[in-house]
Amino acid sequence: MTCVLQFPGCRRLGPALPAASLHRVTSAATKAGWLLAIPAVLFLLLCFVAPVAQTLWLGFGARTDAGVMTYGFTFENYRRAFATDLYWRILLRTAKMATWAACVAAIVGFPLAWVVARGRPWLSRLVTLTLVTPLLVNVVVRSYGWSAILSRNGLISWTLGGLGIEDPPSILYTEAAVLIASVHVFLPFMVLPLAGAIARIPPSAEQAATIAGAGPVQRFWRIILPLSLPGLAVGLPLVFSLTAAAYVTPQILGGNFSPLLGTLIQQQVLTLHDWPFGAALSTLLVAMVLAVNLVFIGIVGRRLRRWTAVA
Amino acid sequence: MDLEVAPGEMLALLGPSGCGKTTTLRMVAGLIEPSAGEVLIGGRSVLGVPAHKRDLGMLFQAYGLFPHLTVARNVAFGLEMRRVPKAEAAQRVAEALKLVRLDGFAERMPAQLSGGQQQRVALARALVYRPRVLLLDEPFGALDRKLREEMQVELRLLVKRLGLTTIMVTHDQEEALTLADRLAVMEHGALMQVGTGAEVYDRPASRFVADFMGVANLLDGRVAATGAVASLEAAKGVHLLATPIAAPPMQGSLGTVAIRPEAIALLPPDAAEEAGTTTLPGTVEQAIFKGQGLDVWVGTPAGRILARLDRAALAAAPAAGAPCLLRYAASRAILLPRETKPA
Repeated sequence: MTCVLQFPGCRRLGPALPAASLHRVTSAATKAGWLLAIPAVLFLLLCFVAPVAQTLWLGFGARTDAGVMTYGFTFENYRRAFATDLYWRILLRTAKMATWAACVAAIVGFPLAWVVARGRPWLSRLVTLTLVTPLLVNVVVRSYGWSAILSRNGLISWTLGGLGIEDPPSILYTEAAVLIASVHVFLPFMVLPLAGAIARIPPSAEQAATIAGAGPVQRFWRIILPLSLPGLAVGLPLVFSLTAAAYVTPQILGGNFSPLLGTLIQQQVLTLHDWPFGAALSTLLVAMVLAVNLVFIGIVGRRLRRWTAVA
Repeated sequence: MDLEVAPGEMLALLGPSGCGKTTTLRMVAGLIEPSAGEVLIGGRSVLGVPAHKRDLGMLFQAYGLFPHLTVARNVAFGLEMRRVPKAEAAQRVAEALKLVRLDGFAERMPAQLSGGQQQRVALARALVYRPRVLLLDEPFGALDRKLREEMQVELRLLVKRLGLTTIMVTHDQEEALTLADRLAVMEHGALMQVGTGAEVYDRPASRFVADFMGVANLLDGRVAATGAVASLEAAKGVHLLATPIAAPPMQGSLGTVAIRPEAIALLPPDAAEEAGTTTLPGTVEQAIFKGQGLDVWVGTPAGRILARLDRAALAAAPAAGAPCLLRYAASRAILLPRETKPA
């Protein structure tokens, strides 16, 4: 077990310490660390790894006509998922919705993150609080709240009608409703990492850009936005993954007109009792989210490493 | 304060932290708006002109490089803002990098460079578009001593060759002396003294400036006699001769005698008196080896005094506790008024 000590700005301190004593201390600390990790590891094995493994396994099983599910090894579920046009479209729609939610959250979240990072302390705290409070409200309650606002007799239509617009459109049970509610729920997962990244932009870089002739617009596009990338690299995949995997919000606000994958899985499992096919769809959903995340992290990560690489 | 910098001149704003030197520089840069007063560049007021339109160059203590851009793109930034055609820009970037001896580093990322190299990139980035004025904000504060001294000499050669008007901020008097044609010493937002390095070093206008310019011996007392050579009573019966500069302090007022440690000789206790000098009896407290010189601290009735002796001229280091005499010529000590008045 080797241990590398890194003190920012004081790299020479590490090797100066006697190596032998350092080693003793670390190996003891490591042993204690493993012991302390055991409860968490057990918990995760039991409550996360095991169910996920079971779901994976179930996806290769089958359901008899009598409705009894059997474990086995067949690709029938996956064949059905890929062969049926509808499932494909739902998978793509889910990916599209998640992408939209991530992008809209980034656009809406950026000014908020700016205020959190650079605003006056009271304003920064107020915005953070406003962003985080919705997480304290149950997702079902929150979704019904949105449905009240977005419905035909809701706040928005009522306001538009009051402004003299005839026959205002109903937003409820459209993809827009799902998008609005998803962005609202997952906004803190975008804003908080983004605010962290904005706060870490060196003021001297911004000032140097100013002195070199960059106005506010050029500073934003050339310096601030690129240097916010570490925050976007966290926020975008988070919002994407959370939206893609969401079930309650699309169910309540999207209705049956434009189901997403979460709704589809729920139908398979709870309505049609086809657990094996539901498990296969779940696996596809996780695979899709994972693939998008890996590609994104791969692209962004390489770029970010260049900023700090000493090679 | 009122300060003018001639074209091609290098001026250093010098003072302790919190004296307002950086604020002054930032007002010139346009990063801060002054609450009152004027900033003129080339005879025209730049108040209300945003920083990015002032056509200046600036170095920061933290370098301020753009971590996401290559060295070449960093240097090219100012040219891109000025919409210089690509081919010309590439050529000028190459020239600028050559100027700071970083040709061959164009495609590196800033994180791959040492501190000194990063500041040279920042310098190239500021020079490449030929700014009207170059501003330096403690540019070498983050570098170690040896590198800092090399960079100072290099920067001065470069700036003089290009004929750039330069204003710099530093709290390091050695850096100011190395780099600047003129020094402006500041305290509490006010200008204390402006002059060439030699003027400020040899003829500090006040106790504060003398202290800041590294005069180790500042002996306070009451002025006993004025004239071409004045006398200060530092303690009862202890009179120090000194040359008043500028307006001599009035008799009976508080004053300070400033003597550089190099001007003081250490003599055996039985040495004879000499005209035009002050001789003080004392006891050696400690002698500190300083390479070429030897710093000897001596307790005297006027206070503790530091004498810097040339080791070559010394047979043996004086022992602690040994009685001795200190002597300096009145012409090499200056009498200053105690109050620090803004110049």
